[in-house]
Amino acid sequence: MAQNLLEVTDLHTQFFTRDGVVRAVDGVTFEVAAGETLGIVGESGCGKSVTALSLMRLIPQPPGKIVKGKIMFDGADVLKMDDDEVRGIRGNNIAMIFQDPMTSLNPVLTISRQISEALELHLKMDKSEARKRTIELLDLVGIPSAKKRVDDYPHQFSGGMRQRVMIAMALSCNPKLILADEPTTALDVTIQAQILDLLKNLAREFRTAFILITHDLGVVAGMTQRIHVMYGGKIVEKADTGELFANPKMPYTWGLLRSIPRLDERRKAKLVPIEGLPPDLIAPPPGCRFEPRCQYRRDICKEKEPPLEHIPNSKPDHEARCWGTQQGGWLVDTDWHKEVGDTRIIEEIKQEVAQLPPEPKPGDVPPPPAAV
Amino acid sequence: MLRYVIRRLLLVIPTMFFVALITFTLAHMAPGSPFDLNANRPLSQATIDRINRYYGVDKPIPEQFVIYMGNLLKGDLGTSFTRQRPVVDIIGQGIGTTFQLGLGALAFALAFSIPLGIVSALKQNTIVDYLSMLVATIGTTIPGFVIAIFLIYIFGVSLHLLPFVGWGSWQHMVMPIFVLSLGAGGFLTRITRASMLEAIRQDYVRTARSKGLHERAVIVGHALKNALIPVATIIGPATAGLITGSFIIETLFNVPGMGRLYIISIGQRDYPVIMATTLLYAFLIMIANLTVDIMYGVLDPRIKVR
Amino acid sequence: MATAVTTQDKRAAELNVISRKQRSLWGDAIYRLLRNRGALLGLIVIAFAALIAIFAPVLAPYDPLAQNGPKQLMEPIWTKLFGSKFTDPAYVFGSDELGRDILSRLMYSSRVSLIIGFVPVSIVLAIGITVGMLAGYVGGVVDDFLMRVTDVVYAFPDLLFVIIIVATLRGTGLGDAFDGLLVIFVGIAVVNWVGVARLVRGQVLATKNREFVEAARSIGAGPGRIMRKHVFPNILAPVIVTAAFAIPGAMLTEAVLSFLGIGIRPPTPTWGVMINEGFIVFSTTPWPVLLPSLCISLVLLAFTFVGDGLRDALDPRSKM
Repeated sequence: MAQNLLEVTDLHTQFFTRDGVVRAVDGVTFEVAAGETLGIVGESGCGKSVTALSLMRLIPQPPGKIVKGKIMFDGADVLKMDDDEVRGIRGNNIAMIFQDPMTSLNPVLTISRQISEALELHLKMDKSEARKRTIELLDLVGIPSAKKRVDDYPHQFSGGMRQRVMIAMALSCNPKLILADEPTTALDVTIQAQILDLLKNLAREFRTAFILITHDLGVVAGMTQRIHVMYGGKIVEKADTGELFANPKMPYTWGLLRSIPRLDERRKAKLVPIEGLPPDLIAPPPGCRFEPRCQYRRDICKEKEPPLEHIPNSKPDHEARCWGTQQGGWLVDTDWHKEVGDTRIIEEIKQEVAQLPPEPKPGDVPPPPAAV
Repeated sequence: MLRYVIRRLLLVIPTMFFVALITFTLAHMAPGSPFDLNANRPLSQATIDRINRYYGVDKPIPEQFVIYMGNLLKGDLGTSFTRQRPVVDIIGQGIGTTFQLGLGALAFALAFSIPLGIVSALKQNTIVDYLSMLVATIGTTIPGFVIAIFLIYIFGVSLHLLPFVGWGSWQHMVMPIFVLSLGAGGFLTRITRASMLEAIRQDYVRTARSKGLHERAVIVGHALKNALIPVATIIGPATAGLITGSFIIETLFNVPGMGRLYIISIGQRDYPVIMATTLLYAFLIMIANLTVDIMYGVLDPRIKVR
Repeated sequence: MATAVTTQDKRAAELNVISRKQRSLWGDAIYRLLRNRGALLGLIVIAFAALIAIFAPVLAPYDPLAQNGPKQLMEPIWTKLFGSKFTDPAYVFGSDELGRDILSRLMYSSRVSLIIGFVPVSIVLAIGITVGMLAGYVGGVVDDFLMRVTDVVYAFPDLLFVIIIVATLRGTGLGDAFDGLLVIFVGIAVVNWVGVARLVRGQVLATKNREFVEAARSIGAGPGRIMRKHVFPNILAPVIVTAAFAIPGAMLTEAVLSFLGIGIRPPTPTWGVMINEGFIVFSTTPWPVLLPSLCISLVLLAFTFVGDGLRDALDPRSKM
């Protein structure tokens, strides 16, 4: 099997704050092959952005730190490189597209300068070469009248155009891997479609590998070959794209898919949200992280964390982190389409929540222990 | 842009008019006449009347004002009542010194505060940061004259290192310039630090790093340019503060500049000098503010100067 | 055995529900302010100064105006450690050039200084907020007037203006009222109200187009009610911070004026006056200058820390 472009092994990234150590990425392992597009999906706070930033070692050093793991890019361990080597990779072999193009572009520099920077730095172009290439790139990403607009400032572009500029910037040195962190979240829906199309075409034309990070399942559906679902700092499901939508094998994924309105649903079908909130990454529970919100939970879910393993009744590459769906589990034969959610458990969760005392403020004296 | 500058310059005229009007009115409302104080020997009423008539001080105030403005437009600033010399000469004498003091203080403040603010921001919460902020706070909070007194005591009286009266050699300049620069300098340091802190937290700094730029290129090429914009706009008010401070410093250190002249002439009710000096100061401040606004428009491409 | 709180916490963590009690906006601000150590220290110093000011007649060992010829320029008693021969245990902080007890004068000075800090600023706030709100909300003539006046006042260095006003009115009846205190009030107030008005105007302009104002108007609220209940609370935060910094500004102005000789008339003691008087004998003994300088510096620093703390506490963007 050809060597993977990127191999991440047991990555742990943590943030040391006044309130404790936040385990943002808590043991993540995955691979990306050359030219393939991988989607990483999850809700806010699940660790997907931190994973991407860790790949380029862009984690701010205090308070963050990559405490463990291996990131093999093109055969070399990124985590063992010195600063100069890492800088040599950034923008050159790995590039990143950020979420909000308005704040991610420097407002007081022309876009010509911002794109040429990388070209001059990595490809050692001189000013006129870099300028020519910049105009080519702007053309490539669909900026009209590129030659005239190359000396404009970011605020003179619309949101969609700015994102195209960011894409041009990322592409400039022909990277092997592009990390796109929520590239369309800040854009209108119609513009979203255009940008995604652009990315897809570029991926095909230049055989660039992409990691597409988003919370929007619709975005990854048309773009990716494989999808990883993240929750609470861990990967909880891995599958080919088609397989994930057709045959998901983790209650969280079921929850995600259920909460999206579908064209082919009966009109009266209700959207079923996932009750509760994401886990506290400072003091994660000992068992499965999704357990408190999971309507299929059992005692083992609270006690032991399930490993990420291949599950029965699915394609060979399909893995999930769930006791219920793994070999011998109680969810192996469940058809998630038919289950609309066990309302008893949902009620139970709601009642428990209502009975909690208010969380003590720092500086408050804790109330005396209640009589058992 | 040009239209904006011209429009602002034109606005200076009516503003200066009001400044003149207010100053004139206030100065003349003060009891006492410029000539009472001169008298070591009491003057007869007739003499006083003659003097008043000579200087036109016996006319009604509005008429005096009109005469004054008329002369002003001809470029005639009048004659000092107490010194019997053209005001232009008197100011000309002092203005050089005051400019030396003021520009020296401004240059010193800029040269030290801005780098200090930047370093503080980059090394936030370290010793360097705490010390710089301490110095900056002291500079802005403790009155200049208090610090001046202490420095005079240490370097002037006890150690006899520096002179503290008069002006002339570079040694004379050290303490006044230093003390004057503290107020503006402290302010500049704090603003620079705050602005820099905000700049390095911005997303575009992360983008710059993600392109593989060296940290120095990121700070200087990306963060700094943004951070300095608010700082540039502060220089206007800082200059006004320098002007104010110069009154005190010149009085304290007995520097023969316009500030000391001003204080003295107020006490002496020397109207022509008071008027001329006030107008000059007002004009300087307006020019300083205008310069700042123009710079703001130049530095920040997002500002469309209408 | 873990306490009930801990297990409840863990259960909360498991269920991951935010069940924190809501803090009111102002309660939150106060909480954050008090957590700031510098601000807390500042508040203590100010409270201390205020106490001294209020109880000065009781605390001061002497009448601050009582002169004592033979006891001129006594040194503070701690200089005895350095071999000074001019100390007198009756004058703990020493005496000035007219034999007056420095400690008593310092205490009484705090009264004037604090009054100068608070009174003009209150006037400034009252006028500034009113004019600013009218200018911002109603606009029109009031607004134009405000902008023109602001331009003129901004053209003056503020100290210059105050000096002119104070020096001008000095010989008059107004100037002598309360030993020149009233004149200084007027001077400071006249110069500073413009800044507050301008600030308030800006805030009002920013607020009046927000949706909640539109919503209030759409249910029939009149301009007075809108200004009172909707606009005003939203503009308060920067105004409070400005006031917090205006107080030491006013105190500083008085000190400078007194030092230049055109402030409070002696023999009334203020720290500025004491520095002025002490400056004359500076080469003989530094204490008459040092001590009031120290007092005023401490109080000014205290206000600055509190002002900084207020600004951080009231800024919704700062993470605390």
